[in-house]
Amino acid sequence: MLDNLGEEKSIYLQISEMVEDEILRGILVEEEQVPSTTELSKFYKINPATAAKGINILVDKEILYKKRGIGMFVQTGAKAKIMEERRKNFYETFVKKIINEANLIGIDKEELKKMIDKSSEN
Amino acid sequence: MGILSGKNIVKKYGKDTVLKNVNIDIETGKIYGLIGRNGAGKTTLLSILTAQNPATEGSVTLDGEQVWENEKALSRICYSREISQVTIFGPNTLKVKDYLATARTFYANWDEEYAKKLVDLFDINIKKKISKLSKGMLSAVTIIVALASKADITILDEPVAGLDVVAREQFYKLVIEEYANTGRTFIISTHIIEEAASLFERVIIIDKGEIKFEDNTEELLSRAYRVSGAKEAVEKAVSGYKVYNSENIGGFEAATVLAEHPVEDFGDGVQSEPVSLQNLFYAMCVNEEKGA
Amino acid sequence: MGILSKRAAKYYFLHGLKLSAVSIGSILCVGFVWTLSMFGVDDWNERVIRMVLQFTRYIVPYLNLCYSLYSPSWHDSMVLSMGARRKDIFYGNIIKQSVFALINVLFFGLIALISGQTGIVEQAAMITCMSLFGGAFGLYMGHKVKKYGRVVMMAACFIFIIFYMGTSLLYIVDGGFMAKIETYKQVLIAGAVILFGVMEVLIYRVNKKSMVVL
Repeated sequence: MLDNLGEEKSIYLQISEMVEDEILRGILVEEEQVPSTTELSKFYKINPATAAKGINILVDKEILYKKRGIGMFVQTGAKAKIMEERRKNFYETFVKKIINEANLIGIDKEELKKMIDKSSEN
Repeated sequence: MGILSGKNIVKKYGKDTVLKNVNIDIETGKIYGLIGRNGAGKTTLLSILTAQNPATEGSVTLDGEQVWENEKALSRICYSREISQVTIFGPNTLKVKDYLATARTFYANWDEEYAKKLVDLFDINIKKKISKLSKGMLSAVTIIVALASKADITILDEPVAGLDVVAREQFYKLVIEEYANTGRTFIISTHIIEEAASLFERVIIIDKGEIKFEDNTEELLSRAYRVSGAKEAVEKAVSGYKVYNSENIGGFEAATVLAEHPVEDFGDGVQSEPVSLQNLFYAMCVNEEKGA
Repeated sequence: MGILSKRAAKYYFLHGLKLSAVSIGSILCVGFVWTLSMFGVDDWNERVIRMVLQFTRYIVPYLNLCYSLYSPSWHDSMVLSMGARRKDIFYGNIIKQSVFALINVLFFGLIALISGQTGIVEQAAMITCMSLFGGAFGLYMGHKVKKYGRVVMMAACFIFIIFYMGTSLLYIVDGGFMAKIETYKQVLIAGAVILFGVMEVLIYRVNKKSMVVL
């Protein structure tokens, strides 16, 4: 049962992204322990192996590390790493979509720029 | 890791062939989902895999040994079934506590503490006769026996059929917890697919006595798509792929497609989205109905 | 013998004990009712005892048959679904029926002994044989009932009625025929034992293919 997990991506990818989000938002702090795969699987009601897969991606990316017998912890410098990766992918994941939609409904670059300026005022 | 293996299983009831040459390998240590329509052969297959019913042809082995009449294999398996509430002179006249006591006698790894905890959790009156239980409580008793048996390979046949949403959630949590703690093998057959889909590491789809798919759930879904857009564009985009169900309204068409490998791009003019397990299964069933 | 077989054997053994408690309890109840109704009458205690013993001689085989009749659909099916092997169930039923017969016969023997009856051993042997035979017959019928439904029971009742009517007719025609049969007691017992063996073989075969029907 997926509460707020959706169909768009594989579940394990959603898990790793969510953990990354929490690190970015400061909910998970560097050198602090993250929930275990068992806790995650219970919370999101998914197969523990799937949760483990998501966590292992982050271990491979060196965002999390394992302390034997204790659990998974956030690596120092993880936040910076995540930010860098996301910045690299920002254009593909977000900007392209905005531009496509803007083109679809006839919003030109000038209007788009105005909107961006407006949002930073609020 | 062990394998519960069914080879060339055929089951006939008189002239009716209920299972047609089924071959299946269940790897231990995983949670399997068994999905199929009513009458597809789920219960029959599970009964045969657990030697509760004899196969007309074919063999079932666990780690290479025959399961039929084999103590070693049978003591590792628990297939918890619902008891019919309407037979006269049947197990349904037993009280719940007597039924659980029998389970305790037969399951070598039975965990009485855990069983008691579950009885409280599901709020069962164990002094009640099984025939007098509500549907939800009957399902709960089946689940308690399955979980407390602590069997290596635990099989549940439509465990959530009678449960309300709160109890269903409890059940999924219990399975996840048990699996996380013990790594037991679970095979769960269900009609309520979407809720449980994320529990299943592997999924078995059975239809009309044949196994259509047995795959890693995530891998299967990674190559299933719902391709939609203008009719001609969609038809062009999905040509060459296996299309299960295509619905259209006006000039708009949506086709459910299963590819051999994940597809990067279906081309311009069409949108592609992932498909849930339930919707994929539904599309497969509809496809069968059409006689494709 | 592996653990699973031991568990099955234990289950059926305890089951036999439970059923014996029921049967002895019923006999005692019936005896109590008779005592109440006949208290104060001449020789009431002797008559009650005789009636109780007579009752026991009929009820024990009959109960064994009844219990065995629904065993395949009930207990056997249930324990089969919990992993017991068919072989264990086959032996289990033998254990159950033997325990049942033994305990009831001991009870019978005790009452008979206390009240100074004669020919106890012979009668006890009769009860045992009829019990075991009735049990085997009931078990075989039980398998057929499980497979084909209650229509089998109706057919069996029908056959019994015919048999009963037949023997009653014979009795009317020749009142002494029961006495004549008594002289062939040994043959009858031997016949029952052989039939019992045959029934057990049939049961073993039908049991081997049994399915779980819950």
